[in-house]
Amino acid sequence: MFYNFNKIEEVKIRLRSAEGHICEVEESAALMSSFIRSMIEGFNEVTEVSLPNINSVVIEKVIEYMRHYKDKDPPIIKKPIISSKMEENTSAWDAGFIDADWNMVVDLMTAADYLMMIPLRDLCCAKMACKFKGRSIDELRAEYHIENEFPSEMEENLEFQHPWRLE
Amino acid sequence: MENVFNSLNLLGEIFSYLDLKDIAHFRATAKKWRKLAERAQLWKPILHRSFPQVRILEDLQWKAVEEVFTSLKDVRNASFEPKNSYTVGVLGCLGELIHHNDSRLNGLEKAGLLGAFSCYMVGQIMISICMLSIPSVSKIEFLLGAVHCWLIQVDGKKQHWENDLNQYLEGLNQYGIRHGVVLVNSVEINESEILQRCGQQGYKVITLRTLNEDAVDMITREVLSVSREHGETARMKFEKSLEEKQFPDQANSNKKKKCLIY
Repeated sequence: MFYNFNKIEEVKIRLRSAEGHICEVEESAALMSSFIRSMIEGFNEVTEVSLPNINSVVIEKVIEYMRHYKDKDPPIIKKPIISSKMEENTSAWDAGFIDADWNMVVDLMTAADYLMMIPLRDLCCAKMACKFKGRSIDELRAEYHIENEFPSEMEENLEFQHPWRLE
Repeated sequence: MENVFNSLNLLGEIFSYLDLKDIAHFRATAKKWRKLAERAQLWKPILHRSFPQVRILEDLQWKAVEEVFTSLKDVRNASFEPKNSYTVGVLGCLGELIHHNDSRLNGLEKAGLLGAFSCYMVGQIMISICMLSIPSVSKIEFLLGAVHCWLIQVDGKKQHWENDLNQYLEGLNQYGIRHGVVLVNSVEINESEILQRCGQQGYKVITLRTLNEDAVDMITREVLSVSREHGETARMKFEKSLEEKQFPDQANSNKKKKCLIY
């Protein structure tokens, strides 16, 4: 008898999103999440994991990350980051992957935290940190549409307290 | 944004990729951000990462860190730069960090505390210096673990300068320290007995007429040499004695190492 081992399909894990959609991912990739790993290892023959806090768009993004790093370690991002540009802090693939809008990065970060995927969570945190890196107080206020809440007297004190502000 | 700010763990992770300057800017942007940034668990790990050799007090407030950096601005504005043979950057005058944050102190005393302990980057070497003042003599014990080089500055034009110097030396001697740099601003007293004794004990004595670039260069060289020669040994000796004092029965436990840091 002749077996074609290449054709043996890997076990797939079904991830059920907040909307009830099913997204499938190979078990070896899904094990990157300590949460999913504990479900699989804790309950034999579990093939479906419910993720009521994560929507399907975010789950698809998480799966993309899992598949990319299935067989290799993600790069470690140095602390503190050296630049506000992600491509200068991490690999080109990671920088491209995380080049998403603010809401997506926040959702991805909370999902990674929930799924206990430390490298993905760290990537999201570094991306968020880039939004604050090297920004002056005025730039931050403009970016996040924040009115100056401090009275002018206090503002003078702030300038005194934050000598870098004028740099 | 709100859901990130609601999770201190995640915010802590984000902060961990920033430096103190970024956090100061974050803090000054809005009242809510200010409250968040002042949570000690968010900025203390970063302070510790920035100055790993400094023992940071548990009750240290962010205000103290601000004052330190404010004083740094003055240092930078003074253009007090040595010759290009050394690249000296003041990383922080951390006197306030290791002394208590006492609001009753007046401006002058506070300035004294701020100047009491500084971290410098000389080339690639990080050294911490304690410049002794009369009030800080009683705080030597507190500073022992963090100081590479003790700097004693004496006003040789003062009538009782020898008494001051004696007080410094006795304070250090109490903890077995017999090395450092003695800086005197008057060349006329060069031959004095007490200065000669300092030299014999192992102190480097520098007498100056004016504080110019050459003088800074010389002081830097001597401080570096003392730091290399005695700094690590003194720190290790101190840490060992502290461990034995605090945990006599657990010679090698991890617990004691933690206590040395915080």
